[in-house]
Amino acid sequence: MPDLMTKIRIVAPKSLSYTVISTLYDLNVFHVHRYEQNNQGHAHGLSAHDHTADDLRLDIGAPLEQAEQNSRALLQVRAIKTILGISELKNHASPHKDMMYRISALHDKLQDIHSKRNKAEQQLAHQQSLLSTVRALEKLGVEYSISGLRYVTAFVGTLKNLAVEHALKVQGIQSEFASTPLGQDHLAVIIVQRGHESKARALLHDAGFAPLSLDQYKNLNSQELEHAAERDEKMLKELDTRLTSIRDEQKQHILDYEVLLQEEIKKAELPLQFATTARSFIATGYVPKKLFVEIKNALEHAAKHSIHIEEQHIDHHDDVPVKLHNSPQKKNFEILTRLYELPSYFELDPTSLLFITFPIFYGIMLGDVIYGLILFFLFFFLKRKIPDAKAWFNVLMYAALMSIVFGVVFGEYLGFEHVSVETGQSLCQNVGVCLHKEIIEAHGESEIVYSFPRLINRAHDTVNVFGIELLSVLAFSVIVGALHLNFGLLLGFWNVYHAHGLRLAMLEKASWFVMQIGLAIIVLSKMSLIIIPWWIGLIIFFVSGVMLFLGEGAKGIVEIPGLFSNMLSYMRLGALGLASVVLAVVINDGLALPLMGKGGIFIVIAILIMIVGHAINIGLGVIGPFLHGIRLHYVEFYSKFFHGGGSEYTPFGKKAQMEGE
Amino acid sequence: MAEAGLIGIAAAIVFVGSALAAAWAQSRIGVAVVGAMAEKESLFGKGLILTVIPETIVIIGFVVAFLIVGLAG
Repeated sequence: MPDLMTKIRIVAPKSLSYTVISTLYDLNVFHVHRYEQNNQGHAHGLSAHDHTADDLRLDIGAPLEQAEQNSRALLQVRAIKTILGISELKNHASPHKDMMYRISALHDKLQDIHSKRNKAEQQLAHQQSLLSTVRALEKLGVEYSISGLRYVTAFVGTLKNLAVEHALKVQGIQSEFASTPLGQDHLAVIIVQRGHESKARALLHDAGFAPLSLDQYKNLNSQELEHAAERDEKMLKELDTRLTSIRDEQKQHILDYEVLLQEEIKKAELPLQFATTARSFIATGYVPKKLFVEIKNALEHAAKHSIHIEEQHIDHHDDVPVKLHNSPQKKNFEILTRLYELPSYFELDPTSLLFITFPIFYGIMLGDVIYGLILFFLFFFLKRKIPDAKAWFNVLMYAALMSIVFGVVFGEYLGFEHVSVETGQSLCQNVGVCLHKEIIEAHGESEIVYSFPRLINRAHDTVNVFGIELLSVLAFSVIVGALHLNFGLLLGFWNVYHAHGLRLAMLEKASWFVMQIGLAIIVLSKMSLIIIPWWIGLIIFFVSGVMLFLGEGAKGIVEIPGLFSNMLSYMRLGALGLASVVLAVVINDGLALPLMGKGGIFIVIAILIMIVGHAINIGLGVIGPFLHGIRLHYVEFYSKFFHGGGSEYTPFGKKAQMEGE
Repeated sequence: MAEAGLIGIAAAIVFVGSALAAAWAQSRIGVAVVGAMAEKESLFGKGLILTVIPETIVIIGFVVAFLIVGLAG
């Protein structure tokens, strides 16, 4: 079961809001139940049969006064972080004196530096562009009086395409052409005979010509510009050093401010979830039952006893938050519970059941000693590499262990069920491991081999079920399924009994047991294994049908075949295992061993085939058994007892540390 | 011997048919689930379950194919 919770109501004067909220924040145990107002202004957050709630007109609380100021300061802190290029986040912070004043002073100072820096940067860019143009003009030796000539026209400007020089010649325009690179373009001077200007202008236009106004550069010289640029560069560097020194000096403080402000804002906004009257507020929420007295004492102490705290009755309509409670080993399996849905507060927590059956199912499906070992060490390695997914790898490591156990049961080692006579004899003589000598028949030929010890041979052992030869492992799977499902029904019985009483539990859940008994009598009687006449079984079957109809209505009747298709669904435990065995056998006996026999280079190829083939099979052996193992729980098992829909227990306070940290 | 061949073909038809059916069903569900997950990531668990539900088809096909092969002796 999830942790026991208790519903509490806190009533205190508004003047104590901050004190109470701060205490709650530090305690970090109060799961706030949001107060909602319906159209009539009646209280929803308070229990329905509470008359005081209806009589009082309650409003939704407003944020505390300091909320706005804190939000503004937080914006400033974020701006500071952007200017200084700080992107980290902190989780915890120690308090600071005069925080607000410091933030605002630092913000103003940084804004000033930042705007100066922007200005210097713009100026520098402008000077550099002037400088490069002036240098280019000086290089070409352009005289600034060039524009007023009598027999020729001069074009001075930037040009994208130098091919225009050739184009001018082709057009028969007499011209002089000079150019020098300027940035990505070229600075060009083109002197054209009078009378050809318009033609030349058109050609130049096509080549991306942009005229330069020479007047602008008349009074500039490169040396002065260089000095100015140097000055700006120096200033930029200076401002950058100042920013860096501020960054180094203040970084930890700034990160602290951010955390503290976020905390304060969170506190200041909490009253939005409260119900308030003119002078007081009412907070409703849930806390773990075992902590109630401690919480009550802490709040009363903080509020100097001007506070009223009461425990309230929890009924089945309450959305009680769920705090799962499991031992450290089982805690890993909570991820599987959460992956589907949290159980509701009034239900059994299925985590312990997953802890037992999920690895077993996985083991039955994979069931190979060497595969299990490889996966165990692989998951162990990955757990070290990816600490965030620690719980997943822990779950998978349990599953890999069960694969080893079932590998021993099935006597499978890397897909080998037996070794050849030679290997078997040498193992017995040299290592002292003597395997069982066996004669097997395959493809009409008999062969002597040394088999690994086993309880069941997955690929070959069969049982006779109603005259049909069925692989034992498939029959075994259905039996496992029947047990698992009936256990689920038993849990369902318990859940319904606790929620709605014995009558409904009998009709809804026990009826399924009755039905199975009825069917068993019919089948066993028909097979002449018992002396009870078969029609008694039929009557019992019909009785169970009526019980189901009374309990669940028509839906129950429709679900009758479902129970049996659910049981058959467990055949996948054996079927997936068979697929894995067959693939391994194909890799070993079908591909690798025949090649191995040929010797030479073929031995290398055979080893490669084994490595790649078994890697693929192990890959499938992780995905398949995992998905099907979890599916058997979610689809078949859960439908017998689980409703889910619980909401996570999220206490108001410091953000909880990541699990496993 | 000819009969054994026919039994093999029968088993193959059962298996191929059920595999195609499961694949078709899964493809449709998978697309819908990925769409839903784009809206709400916490639907992964439910989506996964819905996606693997049709796998029962191929499992049952596999079992039936096995039973048919068993007929060959």
